[in-house]
Amino acid sequence: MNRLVLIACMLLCGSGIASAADSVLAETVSALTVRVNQLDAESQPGSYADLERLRARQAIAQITEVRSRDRDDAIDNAEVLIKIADISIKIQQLNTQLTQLDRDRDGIYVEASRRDAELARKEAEQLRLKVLAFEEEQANPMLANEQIPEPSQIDDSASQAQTQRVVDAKAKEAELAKLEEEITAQMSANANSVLKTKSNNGKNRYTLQGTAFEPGKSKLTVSAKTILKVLAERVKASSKDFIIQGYCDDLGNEKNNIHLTKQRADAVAAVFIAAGIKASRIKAEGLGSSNPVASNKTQAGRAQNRRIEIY
Amino acid sequence: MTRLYQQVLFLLLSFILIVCINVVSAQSNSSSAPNNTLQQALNALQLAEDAHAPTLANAAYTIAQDAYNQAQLFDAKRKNKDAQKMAEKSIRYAQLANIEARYQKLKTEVENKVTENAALRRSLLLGKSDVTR
Repeated sequence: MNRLVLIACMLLCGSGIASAADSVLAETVSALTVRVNQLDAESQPGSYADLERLRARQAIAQITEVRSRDRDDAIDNAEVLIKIADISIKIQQLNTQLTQLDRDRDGIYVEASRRDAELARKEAEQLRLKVLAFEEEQANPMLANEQIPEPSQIDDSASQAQTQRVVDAKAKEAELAKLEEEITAQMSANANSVLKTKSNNGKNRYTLQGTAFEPGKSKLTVSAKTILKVLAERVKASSKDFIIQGYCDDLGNEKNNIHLTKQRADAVAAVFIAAGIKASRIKAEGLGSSNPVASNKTQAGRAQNRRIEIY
Repeated sequence: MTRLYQQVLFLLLSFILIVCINVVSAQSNSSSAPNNTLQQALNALQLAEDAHAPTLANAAYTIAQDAYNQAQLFDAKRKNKDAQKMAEKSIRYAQLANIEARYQKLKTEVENKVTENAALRRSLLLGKSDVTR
């Protein structure tokens, strides 16, 4: 009888140990699944590293399927794949940031070249006026005698230096104008992907893609601002009113989406107002994820849906 | 009572026998040779090295290298299953080292560009004429 009790106790202990091991395994799997879910959230709105996250999920699913002796390896494999997915998301985010930084740098160069060209123009104009004044003095002997008693005292070297400065300034102006033209051409090439014109019921519709804003923010990029300034200059002569509508994809809370799209529409309106268009002629609206122009199921479709439309 | 005792004893012996068979089969390492996996591990290590993982992602690269060395040792002893496991471990850690190294490199690049753009903006605000391509 005692032996039977002993055997029963051993069996109970065995089943107890087994259930404890199962509980530890369930906790491990649950913790790993939580980490992958966090990565899913972090990968929005770009839906980054889809493949890596899928591989991590498959590895987690395998943990419970493999034999107990291979379980540690399976857990290690899942952990490594989760790390790889995490780093892949960060790499894609950095790539997006890098592209944005390149655009910002282009914007800075354009601003700098404009400023330099403007300075050179002013300098050239001042020198031209000085030369004209000098030539007038030379042409009018009376005035020349009054101001310069001895014509021989006119400093030829000063005159030559002044002429040389005019020539140099003109050369510099031409060089800067060429540089500005080159940068503007590059900006225009970028602008084609940012700004499109479409005819809609006889009206012009301008579409500004979501890349014109910093991700998740309502701040316009430098290049987008430059393009909008050009657009505002082009359309401000028109007597029509403008409607600016902000849209986004269907990810996230709709209330937040509407708020963000309204802020973005307001940012575009601010550029128009700064360019001299009256605020009373502009109506800015945030319409969230409504009126999608492409499927929200794909990354490319969602990118198309993140936009600003200007009528 | 004796009969019940014999039955329980029989069950226990059967259980022990099954466990022994499993242990022996696990140790026998009778699966096919992991030469292909070893080669893949070597390739993965090479890729990680090309991405400068030994300096940029040293921890993961070291684990991958150690696992590869162990896989080679197991392979020499014809412990194919252990060699296979170690080679697979080496592959995944080499991939991790590779991607970590790429991430570190990219991070440095972004930091440099942020600094560069900030300097350009400062120059532009101060009206310096060195803001050129």
